[in-house]
Amino acid sequence: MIVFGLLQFVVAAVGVVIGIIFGALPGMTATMAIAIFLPLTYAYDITTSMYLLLGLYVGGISGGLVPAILINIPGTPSSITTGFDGHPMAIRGEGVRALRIGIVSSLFGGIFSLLVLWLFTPPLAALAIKFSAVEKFLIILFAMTVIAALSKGNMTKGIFAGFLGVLTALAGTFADNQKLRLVPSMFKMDMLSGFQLLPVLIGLFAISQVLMEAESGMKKSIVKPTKLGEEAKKFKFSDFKGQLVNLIRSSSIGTFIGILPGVGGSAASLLSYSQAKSFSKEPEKLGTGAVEGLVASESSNNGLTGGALVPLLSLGIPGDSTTAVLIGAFMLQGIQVGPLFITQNPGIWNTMLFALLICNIIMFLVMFYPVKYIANIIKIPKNRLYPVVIIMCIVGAYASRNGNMFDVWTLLLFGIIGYLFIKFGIPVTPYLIGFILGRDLEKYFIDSLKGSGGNLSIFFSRPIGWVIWGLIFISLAYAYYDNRKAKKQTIKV
Amino acid sequence: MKKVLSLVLIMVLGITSLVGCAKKDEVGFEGKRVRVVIGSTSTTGDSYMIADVASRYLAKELKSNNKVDAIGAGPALDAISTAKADGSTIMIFHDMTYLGISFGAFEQKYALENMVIGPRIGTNPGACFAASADAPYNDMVELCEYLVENPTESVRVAVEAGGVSHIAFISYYEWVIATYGQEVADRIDVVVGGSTAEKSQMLWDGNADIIFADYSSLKQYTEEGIDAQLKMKFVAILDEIEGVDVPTFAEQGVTLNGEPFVFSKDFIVYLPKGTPQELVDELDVAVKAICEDQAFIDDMAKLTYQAAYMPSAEAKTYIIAKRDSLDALIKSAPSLDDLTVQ
Repeated sequence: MIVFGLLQFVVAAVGVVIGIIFGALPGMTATMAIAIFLPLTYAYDITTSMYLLLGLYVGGISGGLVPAILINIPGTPSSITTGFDGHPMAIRGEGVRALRIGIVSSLFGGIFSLLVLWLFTPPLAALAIKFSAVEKFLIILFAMTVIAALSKGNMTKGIFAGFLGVLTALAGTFADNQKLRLVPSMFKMDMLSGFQLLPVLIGLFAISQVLMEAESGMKKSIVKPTKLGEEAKKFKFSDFKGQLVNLIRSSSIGTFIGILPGVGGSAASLLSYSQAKSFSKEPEKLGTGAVEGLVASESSNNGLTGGALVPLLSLGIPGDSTTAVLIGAFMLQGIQVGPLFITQNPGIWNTMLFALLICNIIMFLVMFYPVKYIANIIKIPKNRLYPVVIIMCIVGAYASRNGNMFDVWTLLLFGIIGYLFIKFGIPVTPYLIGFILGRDLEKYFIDSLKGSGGNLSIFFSRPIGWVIWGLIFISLAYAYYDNRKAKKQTIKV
Repeated sequence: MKKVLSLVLIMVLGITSLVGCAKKDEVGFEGKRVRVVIGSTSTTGDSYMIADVASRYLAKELKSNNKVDAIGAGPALDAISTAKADGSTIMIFHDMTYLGISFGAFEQKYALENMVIGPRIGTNPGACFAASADAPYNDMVELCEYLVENPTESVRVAVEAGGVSHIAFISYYEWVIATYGQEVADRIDVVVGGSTAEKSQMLWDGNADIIFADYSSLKQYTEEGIDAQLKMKFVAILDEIEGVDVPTFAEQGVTLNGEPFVFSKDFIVYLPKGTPQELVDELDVAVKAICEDQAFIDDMAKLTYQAAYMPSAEAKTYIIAKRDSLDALIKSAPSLDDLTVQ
């Protein structure tokens, strides 16, 4: 039986709205929102708690698109690729259109993953456990090929930046022997866990951008004054014409990556974006404000929500960092999630599915209509907007680990690094992708070798692995071909 | 009018400052925001569960606002070494507090001597070893016999460096050497694992044959109706849990220094060095009260943990003695580098 009433609706709506705010503020994430509100759930039974927690989850994942599109600062790590095309659209004066395309794509991804969760949880859980450390390593390697795809005409520098990002990610304690590495002795206390993702992310994107703007002299606002007041191109549902395959493919990738425990949401949007580029009829338009890039990114990161619940509810293993906090809510209510959860708790299971549906619908309603007001942010003069952005970034960085000043220094340091990268023509995004995926890449590489006794042939000995190797080579070959074509065109010009 | 307003404002500011000063001098938890750090990043393990349940009950007793912060062993030890000794930061953690230092995983400056040991809140007797349900052995003694009968086989055990699993494995390893010889022990390899979820995944992937975890977190995988690839069985538990039929190390004859090896995790409150005795005394009273509260006892029992109050003075002697009793074993034990799969 499904538990639903006014209380549950209010709780879900509050969760979604707060989640959106957390997602939209750089430095705040869905994971933080759930961790903060977890103690509140003691006041409710498990089903009502689920409305609140799933609302925070869906809202937190969805809210990240707002700053990514409007000010090119991803609100959450999984919305990095949203800014690639969303922000150029906003600059063209199509901020509301970009936001609405993102919101509709998010709704599609969320509902798609919900259907997958409802219909295919047991078989997908069985599939998920067939993905060992070897396959996970290869999937992360596959996600890293997006670096090559994004570095068109500049592949050497892109790959260099990507691996530099991996190297930076490895600084800190190596969990297997608790030894510090790549850390200067004067910082060993602050860097036990290395550099944190959120300060690095917002430093590279936000602070460096502000420094560049300060150097060049700030223009009045992000959009040209002529485009203020009215949209250059309005949102229509026909914008999705020809995007159905992209929507389904990207939602599937997001859901599938969510199903694999420990691979992470950023890999989902990166992979979807790179696949959208590979399958696009006009790949050169991606990154310049193309609808398909935005659709790919947003449908995949919301596709993750249902996917990440599959291993949580059927194996007892969280699919991402947010569901890792969610599992605590079940355990504190005395409910064990795992292989017997669905059969032993059909009421809670059905209520969860319904709550996920309601939260996605509320997210759509809460975001779709008010965005025309929210989009006015980009009309605020930069000399007033950017100081607020900097303060928000600093507060977000400080709050990300319950008040750690080192994270604020990290934010500023990576702001300067990002600024220098731009000055020296080194692409920032591949560096960040390398940073995000670096730790997992190493972890699954080492886990694979642990299981095989150090035998490297393990990476070529499993059938699913062969398929992923095939995809890696196709992706690299395509990126190489694309890079050569771009270089030839540059020479001709 | 302006003068009067200025005067009033100055008086308000002055009074506020004085009130602030008076508050600062007060020693106690009442009204404070207390950060409860734990040595794990997981929100599903026994560290989080016990800290969370205890923090909620303690908040009522101490009239404080407690918040559990799951930051991991290294950062937790660092936090409790550097935090102000005013009760705003406490740590609730198990035996890894000293084991991590004894094994050399963390620096000596985090030793028990450099923090204040508060009262014990509870114990978890459920630390256990589990294997796949189709493993050709049902307990840790049968495992040795299996290795004796199959001289080409080896077994990989997932443990965490510097954790309770490390001490449990080392004691077992030493017992295997003494009982079955070095050759058999050499075929028991270590794979270093992290959280319970990661170790379970290692078992399902075939990257480990035996994992170490908490009884309550693995119980569901041992029940009827579980898919064959997921199904596990317990092969040893370190201490007895009432109503649980899993062979303990002691029942299997595993000994340490000739005595049956029994190990329960002790969850103790730790405070920064220099914490006033009044705060420790207040905690003693509060922990005693919650451990006598039937609701707390029941909440802990639901998770197969035991409420087990021990006053701070006694807890200090007890935990230091426990650490020292294991010291010789740890010093003579081979390093994990030598025991891992080569």
